[in-house]
Amino acid sequence: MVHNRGVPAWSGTLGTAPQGRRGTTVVLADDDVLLREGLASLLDRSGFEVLGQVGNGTELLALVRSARPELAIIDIRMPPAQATEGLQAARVIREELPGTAIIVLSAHVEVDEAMELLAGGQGLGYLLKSRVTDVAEFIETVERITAGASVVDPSLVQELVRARRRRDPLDVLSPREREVLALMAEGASNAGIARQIYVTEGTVEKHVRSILTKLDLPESDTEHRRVLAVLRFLDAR
Amino acid sequence: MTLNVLVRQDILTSWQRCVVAGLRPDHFEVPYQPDFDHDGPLRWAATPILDQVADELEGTGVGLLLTDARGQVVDRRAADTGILTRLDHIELAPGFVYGESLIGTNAIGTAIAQQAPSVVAGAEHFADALTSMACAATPVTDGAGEMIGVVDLTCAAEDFNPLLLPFAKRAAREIGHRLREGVNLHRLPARSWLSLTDTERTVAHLAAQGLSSRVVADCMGLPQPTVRSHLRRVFRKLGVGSQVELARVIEQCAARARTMAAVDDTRQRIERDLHDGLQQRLVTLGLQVRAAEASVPPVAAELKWELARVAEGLMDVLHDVREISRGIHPAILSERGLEPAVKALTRRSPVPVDLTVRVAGRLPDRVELGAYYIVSEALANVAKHANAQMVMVSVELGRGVLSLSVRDDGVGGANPDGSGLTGLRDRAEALGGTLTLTSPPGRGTSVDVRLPAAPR
Repeated sequence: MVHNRGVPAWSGTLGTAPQGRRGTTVVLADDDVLLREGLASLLDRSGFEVLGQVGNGTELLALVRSARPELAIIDIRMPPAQATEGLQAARVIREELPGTAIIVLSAHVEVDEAMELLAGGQGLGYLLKSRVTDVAEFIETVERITAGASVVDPSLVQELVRARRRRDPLDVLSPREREVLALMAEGASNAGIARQIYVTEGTVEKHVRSILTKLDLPESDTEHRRVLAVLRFLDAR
Repeated sequence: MTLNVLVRQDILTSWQRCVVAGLRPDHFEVPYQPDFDHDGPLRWAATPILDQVADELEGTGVGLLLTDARGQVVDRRAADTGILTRLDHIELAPGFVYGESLIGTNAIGTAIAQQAPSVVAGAEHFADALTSMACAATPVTDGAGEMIGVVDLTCAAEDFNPLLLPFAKRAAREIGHRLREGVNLHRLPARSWLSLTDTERTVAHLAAQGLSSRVVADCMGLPQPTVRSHLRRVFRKLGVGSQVELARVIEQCAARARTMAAVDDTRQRIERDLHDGLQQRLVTLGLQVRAAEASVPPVAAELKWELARVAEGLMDVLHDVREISRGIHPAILSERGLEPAVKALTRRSPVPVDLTVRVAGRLPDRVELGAYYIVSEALANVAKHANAQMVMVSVELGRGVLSLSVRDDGVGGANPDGSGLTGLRDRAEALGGTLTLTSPPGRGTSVDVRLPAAPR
């Protein structure tokens, strides 16, 4: 499987300054120290300011409350139970400091967890842990989330879209519409979709309206609600 | 009502049920449901028998009917137009439900209500509309002793003959045989703990320890004759003839269950190691390579490119590890339970799936794991062998029983002794359940499993 559509991602342009948003503050939570260090180093190289690193949910909350970062990147599985502490922590951070962007990383992606996380609103991302090594794409995704986008890992969306059902409700969509639907589920904005498939934003809007009508999905005023609506639809069929 | 003729006890009891149910003799309305199982294992097993019996009934004015366990007619044979017209007139036709609580005393409905053969002739029928008819009906049972349908012979009351009941019984027996043969019995018969009641299970365990029925009776606070009769039923249901055999069978089942549990635990440990250890290390390595790549000066563009490719390669390995790990033990099952795990499983099926899952809450680990593996293996078999257009998967929790079903519309003719299926059967039996395989050549394959399951 070619990981990012055939082109190796370069981790930096030729010698110029890193392109991360100047000084976005971030904290990291992962009980694997080596991985955490590697990620911190990557973020640092890309222009982020890493305020701190912790290894469990309790320490994470303490750090977020004191340091007030713009972004928290959290591993979903941490001590003590090694289950979904990351999601719980994300929920608490959401409640107390709603402006904080949060990215949850997981070794495997499941639709229930994606929906649980993204129900929290804007500026939330649910990604496969391995995405961090696609440096350029990862950094771009981080910036989008920090700016308020909602993101779901493409592999999860692919799995949902590719499911073969008898009497599939997606059969009413054209191949292009299916492509757009998948990108909607990943959390791309109309502009983002337009860039990905090389059409104008206006064309994307037409496709989106057609899709929402054909699948009887609600028009959403915000992107994260759109993502949730599409995910829910794909999961339920 | 007054009668000047003797009425048999079972008819009286049936009439009492009808009165309690609020039925009236002058009201006759047979419910019809278009959506009946005209292609299931019962009809498949019964068809050749029904054909044969229909031949034998030529010129007798007797109609032959097959219903499911609720009394819905799934098949019918009527040799001459005379009896056919009469059957249509009383709506005894495929799709109609001839339950006793719906239309009153009749051989089909009463046989179901009393779980035993029934003869109802003329005025013995509760409903006036049926008093011109006579019928003899008997249950059809499957390998576990459960009633899954009824064979009925119906004729005009004046044509009634007492030989109709033995005739129906013979047909029901032969259908039962065919059903059991469809299930793989080339090895030992499926020992089904499912068919035992809780009391019988307790009796079985105590008796297997070599305790006499008197001691067992003392332990359980039951009269000794009751214990003896439970024990006889246990022997019959498990297909054993003595306490020694019983002990051996129970120990075999326990040993199989222990082995399976040990294997499952090992798999879970391996998956944990793969997940926690290997995947994390691969991501960390990937990050290290990317850091190295970033520190290479632009003049060494080739080197930069190579390092990028190494990072890519590592992620491909990681992807494969993730796939393997999922095949060994699906993390989502332990974390979230059977429903999300089965949904994820069916998404990966190359054959389109029609999925129904009705399981509220979690079940014991062993049951969830067993159920998952069974569905997973069955789907893999469909993909490999069935050449099917679609597969129906259903996972439903009833009262204490988890029912799994994987049915495809492919080529059928599955070999019950094939390694894939014996593995499934072992799993089902190790959990105290049953597996039924129905695979007539050319008519698709159906794997139906029932597992005892109390919510945790």
